[in-house]
Amino acid sequence: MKVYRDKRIIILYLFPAIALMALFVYYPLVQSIVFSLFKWASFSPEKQWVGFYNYHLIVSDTATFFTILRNNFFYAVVSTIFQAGLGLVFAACLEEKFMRGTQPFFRTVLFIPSLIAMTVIAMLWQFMYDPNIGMINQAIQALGFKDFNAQWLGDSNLSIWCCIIVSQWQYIGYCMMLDLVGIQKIDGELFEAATIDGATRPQVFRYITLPLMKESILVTTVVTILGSVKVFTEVYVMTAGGPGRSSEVLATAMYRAAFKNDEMGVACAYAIMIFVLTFICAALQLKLSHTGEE
Amino acid sequence: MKSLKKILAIVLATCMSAGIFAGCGGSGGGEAAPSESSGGEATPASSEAAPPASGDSGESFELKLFHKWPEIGKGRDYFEAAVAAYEEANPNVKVTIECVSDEEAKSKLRVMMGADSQPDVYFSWCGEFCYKFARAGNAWDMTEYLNNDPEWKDSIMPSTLNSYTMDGKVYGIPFRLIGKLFVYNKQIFADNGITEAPKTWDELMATCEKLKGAGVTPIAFGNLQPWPACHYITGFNVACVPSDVRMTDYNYETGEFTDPGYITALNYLKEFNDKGYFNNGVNSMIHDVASENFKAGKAAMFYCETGEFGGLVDQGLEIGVFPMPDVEGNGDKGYIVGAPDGFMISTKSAHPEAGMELLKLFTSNEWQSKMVEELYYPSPIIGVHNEQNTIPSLLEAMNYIENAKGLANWLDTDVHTKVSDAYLPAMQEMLNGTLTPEQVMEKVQEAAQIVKTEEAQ
Amino acid sequence: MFAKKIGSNAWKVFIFLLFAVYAFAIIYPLSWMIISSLKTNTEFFTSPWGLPAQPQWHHYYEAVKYGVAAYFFNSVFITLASVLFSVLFSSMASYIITRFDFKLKNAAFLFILGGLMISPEVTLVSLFKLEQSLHVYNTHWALIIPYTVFRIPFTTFLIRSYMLSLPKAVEESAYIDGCSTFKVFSRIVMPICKPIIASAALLTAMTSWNEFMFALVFVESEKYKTIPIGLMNLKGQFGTNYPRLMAALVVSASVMIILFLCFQKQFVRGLTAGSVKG
Repeated sequence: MKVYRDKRIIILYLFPAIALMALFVYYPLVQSIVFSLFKWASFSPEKQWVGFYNYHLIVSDTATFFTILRNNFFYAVVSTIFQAGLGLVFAACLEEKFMRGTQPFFRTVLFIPSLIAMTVIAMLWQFMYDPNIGMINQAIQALGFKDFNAQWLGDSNLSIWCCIIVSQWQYIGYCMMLDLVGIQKIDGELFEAATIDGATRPQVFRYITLPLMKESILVTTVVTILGSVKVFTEVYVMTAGGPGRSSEVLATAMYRAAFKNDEMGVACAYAIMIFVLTFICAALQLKLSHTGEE
Repeated sequence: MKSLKKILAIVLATCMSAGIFAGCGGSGGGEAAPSESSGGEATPASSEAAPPASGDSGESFELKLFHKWPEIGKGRDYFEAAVAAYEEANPNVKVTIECVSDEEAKSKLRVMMGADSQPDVYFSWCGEFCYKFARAGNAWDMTEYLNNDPEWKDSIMPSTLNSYTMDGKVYGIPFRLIGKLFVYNKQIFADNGITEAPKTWDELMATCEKLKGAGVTPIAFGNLQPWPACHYITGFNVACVPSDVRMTDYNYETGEFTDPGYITALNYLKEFNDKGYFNNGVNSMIHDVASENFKAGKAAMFYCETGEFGGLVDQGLEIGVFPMPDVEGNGDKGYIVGAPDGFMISTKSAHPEAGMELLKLFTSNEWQSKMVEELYYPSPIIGVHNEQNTIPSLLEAMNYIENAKGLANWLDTDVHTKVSDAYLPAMQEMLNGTLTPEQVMEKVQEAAQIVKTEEAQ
Repeated sequence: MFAKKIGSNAWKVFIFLLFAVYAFAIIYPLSWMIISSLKTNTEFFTSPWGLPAQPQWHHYYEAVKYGVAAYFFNSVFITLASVLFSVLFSSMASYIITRFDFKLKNAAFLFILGGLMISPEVTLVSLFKLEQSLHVYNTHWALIIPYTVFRIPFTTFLIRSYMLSLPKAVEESAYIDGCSTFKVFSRIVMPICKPIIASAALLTAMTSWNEFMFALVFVESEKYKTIPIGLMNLKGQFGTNYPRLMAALVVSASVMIILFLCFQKQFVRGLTAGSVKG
């Protein structure tokens, strides 16, 4: 159609989004790239050229850097399975006829955690995890394991998993809601036809829901993976990266560099790493999903 | 549907006519201005005589104050009252207050200091935190002003003023004093037949052992955010490391941290933990929870700051105070961990003298006494405390602080941030048993080495 | 046949129970928040899972008075404006990206999507300086702009994927009937996208309402602060009154929950089914 090639319309409609992105996202990004090559503090006008020293500094602390990458990786894997995967399954279950009656209730309840500020959720879970008064230890002790005394957030091996669990708890409902909106768009007759043809529920899910939900799945996976690379608040509030550096992730390391250690250059270097990592993930996913093609 | 279209049209028109937001920014600012003055108090009263002030004395101007006590009914009200008193005495000055809480102040201060809109008078921790602002040219030199007002200068405890002095120049005025001491629950001590507060390390250990034997948690300690452990170590380091070595190490240009005293210091902290004198889950608990546990009688002792006493006694808890006993070592004895908190003035301030006058009001006997009474903070001004305005436990603490040989400034603000950033998390791991004291110090040494080479560049 | 039926019923029971357990795992901690807000500070710490001896309703009064009331208008205004701008700009962009033909189409989409990869924490200093030079620092715009901008990528992504799977037939016939692009966009495309726009609006509202860091740094006058910053009024340096803080958090969160309950209708089957099937 001819109207679909009207340059004036294209520019007019794209302009606000593109211009805002350019000024408030890409301009600071380019600045960050440049600033990652300097040694500077936010409160001082002096900037000292150091080349790639900031990157070298991050990578040369191999133990910490490995922990950070590992934590982000765990976050991404678990979040994809639970939020993008389980979220979709939940959405499909809620759309089953026998769940329709209770759907509004479950939909609302499961979504509510994501409406609440992460800082609050993190504080709430800090109490849940408390080894003395926390509900988790008390519940396990009540089940008969009298000597059970896990330190949760205080245990270097568990701290990151504690944060990961909280994120899942908060965001499964969120992804489920996005998928639900997508599923409800699918023509119900398709499901009926398949059922009449004798397809089982898992088969319907596999051969009808999944392919038709391609775009929606893309959205949830991209968002959860990018979210896990950028994850900050839950870790910062619950453990601040500790004990030691055991639950440090890229964003908390960046925040630490920027606002604790006054190394804005190092912080920028972390930011660039986050950008590159997320960019690769997103590009791969878009490529693999063949999005937008018909 | 119609309304949607209308909204669309309006928004599109605004957006397009304003060009991008770059243009919008200017107009946005313009729009905000009238609402500001209609809001009332923000702009100086003489907003019609608009052309902003020139420089004559007696002109109206605005002074921005930044502090970190936003809690309603406590610090916020106190500062509002003090500022109101100042404005009454100086009708030509309008003081605007901004306050954010402790943790947030750290990032907000850093961002503001890099920009043009610095507050005229701002809160700052002492020691290295203050010095780095001074080195970056953000701190106004108060030396001359203070020398011209010897009466004021002499009213401030010299040691506290010292904490804001770098290379002989004064950059900050102390506002309150913090000392770190043990408080104990008198009831629990009495119930377990402990009649006297421990004076020596051995007595403290014996007391802990006795309490532990009776099934009472001796000390409440929450180190999830890793600073409380660092307060213990601050004191132990002073006692265990010869002071000249410590000074050299704490200076970021020369720090090495190879003295064995540092390991001895860590071992003292480890001893508390290994012997089970702390509560369960030290690294899983935030300091506030530890404090509440002590308040609720779940632990007999608590190592805390004088500023916390008020909250502890609010509900009628009977507490006694004793300083951390000296430990064996090659360092200085008789020190108490603590430091003043104070205010600095920006070099970008157009009216630093007005700022100084405001600070003079804060540190006047009248307002300090009010602070002691209402907020239970100890005062760095000589002769403010008396039995009328001060709660007994605080008076007791002040007695210890005044008789101490000196104050040991917090380790985490006294050393380079990168060193403390290695020190504190490593101590968490030591308390978890995943690092030995020797390994902790190796991490600190590495960090100190990096800082040294970086600064030498 | 009969066995199969039992099997499928067992599945149904299992799935239902799974949801029930999960719902409980959400409701229980959240009700804890409400119960805790009615305790005294000592009760809060000493018996965190018990019931308050004497409900402290005054916490709510204080929380609203000091932490919420004065900032309510700002939060509402800033949230509404960010939702409006981000949804509008994003749907405009999505419309172009999904329907129009031009060379840089994928580039434009990637350009917008790129915003998802930036962590707001690091742009803080740059944005702060940028806002100062644009003279929007310490105005409502200081927050509306970044909230809008940082939501555009995700919102565009969301709306685009929805639009992609919609048939174009209706729009095309409208064009043939001589409708302008604006009319097609506002009269046909936007209404069809109502469910996803409702979701996108809700998600944007959520983040803007709860956002803390930009709100902390980009605004300094009391009269522009939002609720998350107002909550600091309830936080002490030592020994915060946690139940009072909880009360404020409950109040702040319930605004969003109520909004969700109202908005929810927009994406419920039935109400929108007609237009969705298009």
